[in-house]
Amino acid sequence: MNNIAVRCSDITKSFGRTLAIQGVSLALEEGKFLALLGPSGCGKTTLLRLIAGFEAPDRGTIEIGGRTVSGPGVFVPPESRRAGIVFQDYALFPHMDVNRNIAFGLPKNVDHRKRVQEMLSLVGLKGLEHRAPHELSGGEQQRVALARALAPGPTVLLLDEPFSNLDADLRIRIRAEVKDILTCAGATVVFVTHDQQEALFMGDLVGVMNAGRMEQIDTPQAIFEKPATPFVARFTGMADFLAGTVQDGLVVTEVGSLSLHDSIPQGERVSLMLRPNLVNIRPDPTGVGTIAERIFQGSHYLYRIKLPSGATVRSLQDCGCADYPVNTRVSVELNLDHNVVYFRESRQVCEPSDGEVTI
Amino acid sequence: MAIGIAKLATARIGGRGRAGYARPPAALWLAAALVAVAVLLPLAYLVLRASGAGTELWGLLFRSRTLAILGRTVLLVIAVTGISLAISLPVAWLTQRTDLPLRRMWSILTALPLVIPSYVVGFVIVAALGPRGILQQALAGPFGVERLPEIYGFPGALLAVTLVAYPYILLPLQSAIRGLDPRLEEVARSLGHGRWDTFRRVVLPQLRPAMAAGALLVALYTLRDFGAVSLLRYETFTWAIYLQYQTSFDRVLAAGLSLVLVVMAIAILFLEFRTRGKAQYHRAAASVSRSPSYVRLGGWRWPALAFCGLVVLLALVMPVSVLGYWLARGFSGGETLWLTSSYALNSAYVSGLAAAATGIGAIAIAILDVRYPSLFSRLLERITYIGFALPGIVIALALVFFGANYATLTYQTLVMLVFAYAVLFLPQAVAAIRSSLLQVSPRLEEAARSLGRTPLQALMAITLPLVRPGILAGAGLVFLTTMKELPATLLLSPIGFKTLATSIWAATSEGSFARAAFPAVVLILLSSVPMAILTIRGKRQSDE
Repeated sequence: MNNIAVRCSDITKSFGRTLAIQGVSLALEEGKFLALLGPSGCGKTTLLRLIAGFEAPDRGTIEIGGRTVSGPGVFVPPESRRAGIVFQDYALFPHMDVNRNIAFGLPKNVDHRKRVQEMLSLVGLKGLEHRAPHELSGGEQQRVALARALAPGPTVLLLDEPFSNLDADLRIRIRAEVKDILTCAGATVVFVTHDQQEALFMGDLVGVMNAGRMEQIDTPQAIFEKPATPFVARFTGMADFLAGTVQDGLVVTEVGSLSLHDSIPQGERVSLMLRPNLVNIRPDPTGVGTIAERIFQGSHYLYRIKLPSGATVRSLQDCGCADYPVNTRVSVELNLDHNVVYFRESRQVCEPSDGEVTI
Repeated sequence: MAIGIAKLATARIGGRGRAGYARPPAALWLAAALVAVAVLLPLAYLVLRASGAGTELWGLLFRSRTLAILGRTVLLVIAVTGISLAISLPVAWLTQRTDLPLRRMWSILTALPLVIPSYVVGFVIVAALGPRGILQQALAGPFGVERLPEIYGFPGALLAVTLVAYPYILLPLQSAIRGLDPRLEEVARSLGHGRWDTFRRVVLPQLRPAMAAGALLVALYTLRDFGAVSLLRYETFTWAIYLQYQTSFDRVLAAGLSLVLVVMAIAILFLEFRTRGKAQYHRAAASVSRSPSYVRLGGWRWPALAFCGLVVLLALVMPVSVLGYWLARGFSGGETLWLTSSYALNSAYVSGLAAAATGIGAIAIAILDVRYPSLFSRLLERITYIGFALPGIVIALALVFFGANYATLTYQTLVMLVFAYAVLFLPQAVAAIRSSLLQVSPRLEEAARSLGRTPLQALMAITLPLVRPGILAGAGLVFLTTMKELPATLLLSPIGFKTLATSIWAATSEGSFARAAFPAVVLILLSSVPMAILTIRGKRQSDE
């Protein structure tokens, strides 16, 4: 089970003067799902197209199922890679019915009728084989595209923003269905998305990309709880950053001190990552913070707390027990226990900004 | 030259081709290159021929006779373009933005002359206003008028060409006016500008690109026109070239004149290209909402109606009634119809061949250009535009020379004629196929590739079936344009092979109007087909 289905080693690709991919490496085991997550223009779709063989890398090698498909002097064309792809707009052939679309990639020696029926029952579309693509709903079209890509039994299935064409409420249902279908088919999947929830939900692995680089590739839990860079921290959920200084094995900040496990030189400046659910507030006339804003979110209040330095942190509180008006003075408490994430400023410049990625 | 192109092409492959794998299939590449070379052949041969004469050519070109031809051509181009603008701007405005009674009808009627070939209008004008024409004979009885003012020469040519060319300005203007954002005018009014001020300072500047593009199309049409100027005996370049060919067979001078004409046409085409981009930009920027307020004409509606009526009377009613008159006289005089039907068959046959040949060439060019963008494919596509710049008479002449000297087997055969048509009409076919190809997402082909098809297989299974409507439209357009084509048909037809176009021209030249009328009617009806289809399709789109 530990066979590597897809391996990219130090891939670089530029279009003219734009560097689209810079030194990206990844390895994906058979049967696993990899989510490529990042803002638009980060290179995630280019990486997908490089694996599919619609682009050739400038440098680096790509292996699919242990065979080098792109590399120095090697370029296997898309039709010989055994990499299925589902596009954002599904790209169903409009002049063919469902049946012919699904059978399109099947080799001649396969019983087409039987395989198409298998695929239709896998995606739950039995009885629709003679529909034309335009007679299908968006969700049905997507399942036909999945069936078409899975029918020839590809080594890896590539999905390009698979859910972005669907309405928000439909999306949540469909992505669960798609995950079931793909798990059932035992497919190895690389998919591209800009939606962090989708990535955390679907991926066994999540690769966060920014400006052509792979910032971090790890399990969803690790990505969320131990982001490698401030960018990953912000992109995977709400995050604030609090400046601190290392003194005697403690990080000293304006809201208190925290102990560190690692040894960091005395006097080093760091910034702590704070998720709103890990920040606790209590009304306290002598507290360091002031509530600057209160946002009602249904079951929770999200508070924005202004600190003496001018920095702000956010705190998530249950509605029932913590209803404080704006301008209340509060004390701030960090529940970071064993999960202290910090970035050393000497290595990484981080700019906590108000323009957080909202969920 | 060829080496230079190849170098450019390889330099681009590593660069920003839309796709890194984008090596077009060799068959496609070869076919497209072959088409491009074929298109270049007539022009290259002309240049060779003319440069062979060396300094002698300069002497010939700067003779006063050549300069007189140049003067007449420029005069006609400017006059036709100016009058076409003067007709089109008011008509477009009245039919799109005022409460002119029956404005829908006027809008359609004023655009219809587009389907009448210029030599048919030439024929109509000679038959109606010429010596012993309908008007003179009508006046001869009661008033004893023996002579009308001379219609041959500038006035006749101006009238004839203007009446068929002005829709080339009218149509883009109408669509530009429809695309205007009425809110811009409302803002101008709210800022204290009156109606006229608003029109001058807000509306007119937005229409300028469309007017410029249309005016250049009219200028190009006038420059290329052979039928009307030859029938009305106004010696512009096209007719002078024909006369050279007919009488003295002075090849060097004919080639020189042709080259001057080509240079002028290319200059106009170049300007047109540049303004077209701007026109689109403007339309795209202003396609927000459309609920224009209609200007109330009040008492002005009568002069407005009279103006539209006059345009329709001259451009549509006169041709139709003159044709009807001579058709009736021809029938009663025992004109036989079977001759016309054999001409029609010839026309249809050769047009069908041209449509097929042009369509196939255009598919290769369009696919290469849309799917495998590179400097090289762009260059190939641009080369096919030479057909727009080369007047039919020039291509015909080049091929006559070339055929008589090097390709004697094809000289005076349909092969040569079809070749000429293909060079002339390739741009139309490429444009039609290109636009339908642009609507087919490249993702479809990529999906086919990922399912195990080679580029060529994906092309055959996915792309071609999907662009079939575009291919049919392009080929159909070439078919109908070929039916109307005159100068190349005149010069390159095999001896004894007469088509509708050449029979109309020959009959009019001999003054036998009755014989010209029936083929002319058939031709106009055939030419109306694509116009009708376009109108219906446009209406359906605007209904949706």
